Amino acid sequence: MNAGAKVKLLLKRPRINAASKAHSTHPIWFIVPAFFFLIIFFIVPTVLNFVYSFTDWSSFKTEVNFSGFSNFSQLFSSGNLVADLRITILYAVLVAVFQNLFGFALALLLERDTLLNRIARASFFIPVIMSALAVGYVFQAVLEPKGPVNSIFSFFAGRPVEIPWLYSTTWTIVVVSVIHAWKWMGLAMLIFLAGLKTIDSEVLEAARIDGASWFQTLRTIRFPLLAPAITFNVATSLLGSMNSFDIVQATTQGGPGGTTELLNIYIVRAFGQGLFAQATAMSLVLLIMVMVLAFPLIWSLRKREQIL
Amino acid sequence: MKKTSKGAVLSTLVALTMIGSTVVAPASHSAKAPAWPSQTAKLKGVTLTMWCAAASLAIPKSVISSFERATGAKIKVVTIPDPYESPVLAKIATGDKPDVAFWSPTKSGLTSINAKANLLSLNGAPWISSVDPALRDVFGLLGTTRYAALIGTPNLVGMFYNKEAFAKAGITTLPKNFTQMTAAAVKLKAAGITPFYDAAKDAWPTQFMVQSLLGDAAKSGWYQKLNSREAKFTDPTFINAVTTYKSLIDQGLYNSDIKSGTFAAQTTALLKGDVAMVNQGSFLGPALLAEAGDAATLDAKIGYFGISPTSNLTLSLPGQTDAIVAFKTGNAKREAATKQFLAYWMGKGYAAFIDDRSYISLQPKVPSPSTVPKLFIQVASGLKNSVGAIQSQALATPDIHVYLSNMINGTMTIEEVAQAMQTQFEQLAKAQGAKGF
Repeated sequence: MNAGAKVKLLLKRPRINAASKAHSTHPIWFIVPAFFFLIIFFIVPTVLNFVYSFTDWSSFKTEVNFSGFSNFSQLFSSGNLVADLRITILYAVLVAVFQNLFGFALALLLERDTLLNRIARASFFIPVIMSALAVGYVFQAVLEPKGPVNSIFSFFAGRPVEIPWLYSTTWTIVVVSVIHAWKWMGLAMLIFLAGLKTIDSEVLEAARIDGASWFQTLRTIRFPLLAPAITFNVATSLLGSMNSFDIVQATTQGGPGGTTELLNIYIVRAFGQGLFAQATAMSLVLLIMVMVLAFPLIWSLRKREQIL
Repeated sequence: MKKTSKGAVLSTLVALTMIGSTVVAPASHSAKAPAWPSQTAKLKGVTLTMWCAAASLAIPKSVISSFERATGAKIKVVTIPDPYESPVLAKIATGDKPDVAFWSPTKSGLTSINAKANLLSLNGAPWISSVDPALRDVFGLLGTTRYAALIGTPNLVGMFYNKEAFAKAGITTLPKNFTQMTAAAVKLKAAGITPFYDAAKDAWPTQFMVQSLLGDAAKSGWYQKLNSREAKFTDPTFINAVTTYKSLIDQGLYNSDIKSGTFAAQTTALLKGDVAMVNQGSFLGPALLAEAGDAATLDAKIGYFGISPTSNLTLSLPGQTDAIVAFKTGNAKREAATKQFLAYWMGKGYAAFIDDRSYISLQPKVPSPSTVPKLFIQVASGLKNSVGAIQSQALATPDIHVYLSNMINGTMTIEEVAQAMQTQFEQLAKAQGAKGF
């Protein structure tokens, strides 16, 4: 046996040992229970979602037949799906922007660990744990043309103000996305706060000694170092709001004039008509859309982290 | 050789089983309780589930408790969230079924729930002969099979008007057709009263004016032509109806806050006299009564007339609060108990039920309670001169309210509304497997 072979053997042996040790301390069958639930509640429904999209499943009859791409061709030819997809994406982008702006501003504002800040952090987190429908209904009442918000404006303006917050075919989508962002901004705040806490205080101290202003430190040191928090916040807010339903349903139900009709609202409407297969096909389209957006988005955000 | 003998044994077995089952079948039938059990037979230990919407939750309360007292059965009421119909269909699709539920007794309602597969036939039910013959077979039938029991006067659609507002504008005779009604609306506007109210926020009320404008067409069988593809929503019949509706809005004859209008606000505005006329279903009656406080006040303020382009036609449009259906659950004991419950509701329990709900009786032998407001009776009398609305006559009902509300908000043109209606109608008809689609 030559020296090279010996080295190879030496290198090989511990590896085998490590692998077998790992196998004995946490054997593969340990993941069976987790996998069981994953299959039942995630993989099977996803596969069925895929399968039913290509059938004529409806409430009108008991049998389900294969129907090829007819659901998809019908959906794309009617134009509703494309219009609602556009609304959904616009909504998701608006929510991502507002939620992160609000969350980041709050994180900076409440960064120091004072008692008042702790109380404020907790109170800004309350909307996150509130029911989305409840949030929607509250805002719907508050933003009525003769509701409290307009009454406050009327009081200060000295004349009756009737801003149609939820009845503008142009601006209501912005209003609704702000409501969505308001509900979730506490979560973004929390993640940004956690990110800010991980920044090495020595780096910040060095910057201060070098004479960097607060804003300079924020722009050139703290913001770039927040990259992982930004990845998480942008990805979850953008992709999460693509699946939104509750807040819009409670505030506008897709109106006025269908300008806030997210794909999920359209899906529920189709389901309500008994067109189950079409609704399933639409949710498949939504799933694909989310994936198409998710992979490049997360990849590019991750890339930013690597540059650091 | 071996194969054939095996095959022979098998076929003999099959044959024997078949003979056995045919022999046994009548015996088991005769052993079973009769199809329609006695209304108050004891049902101790039987629990039935009933599905209600938030809006229909109070309706069966009294009849359930008296049935429970009389039989010992238990009826568990489950509230299905709004919009009632779609969650119900979704639950049924996943195999979850109640024993009894509120459901629309229209053709499209019964088709959408796949009555043939999911509902019990009510043919030969003991109460049918006591129902007013004029109403007996109007609703609840799909082909020759009866699937739904009407519990009260079906929902009727027409114009509710404020008597004081009419008097203020000097309108002394009620409009006899749409032209006269429009003239009255112009007069009301001149007197500073908003003639009509519609609610594009809730959306669903917007369908009624257009449906009334289609009343004459409905009477001459337009919906049947639609079902057989001889007519389309893109035809002038429908386009003209929507155009007339839109022109009324454009003329300023509707409430200025039509885009944010709701059913609740509509009720209040009509009762107050801020608005003179509201085209609505008869369920507006109870809502008005609740707000007016008592029948006398209501009758003094509000009246009713049917309307179509040429006459005082009323539309009939039964909803889920008007009828009940029984489900095939595969449990013979519960199915029999469900039938017994329906028989009791429409039989021995009917008088107390309509008394509790202030309903107008459907059975000539059971008098209507004296507490029923005159307005309700007036609306119910519209049934004699009525025609089925789109929900009662068309194979499927597209989301007409969504499209009209979009039109009011300016995101759809009249032509786009018509096109969307036709596209969705064809889609639904195709999904049903309707002939020609």
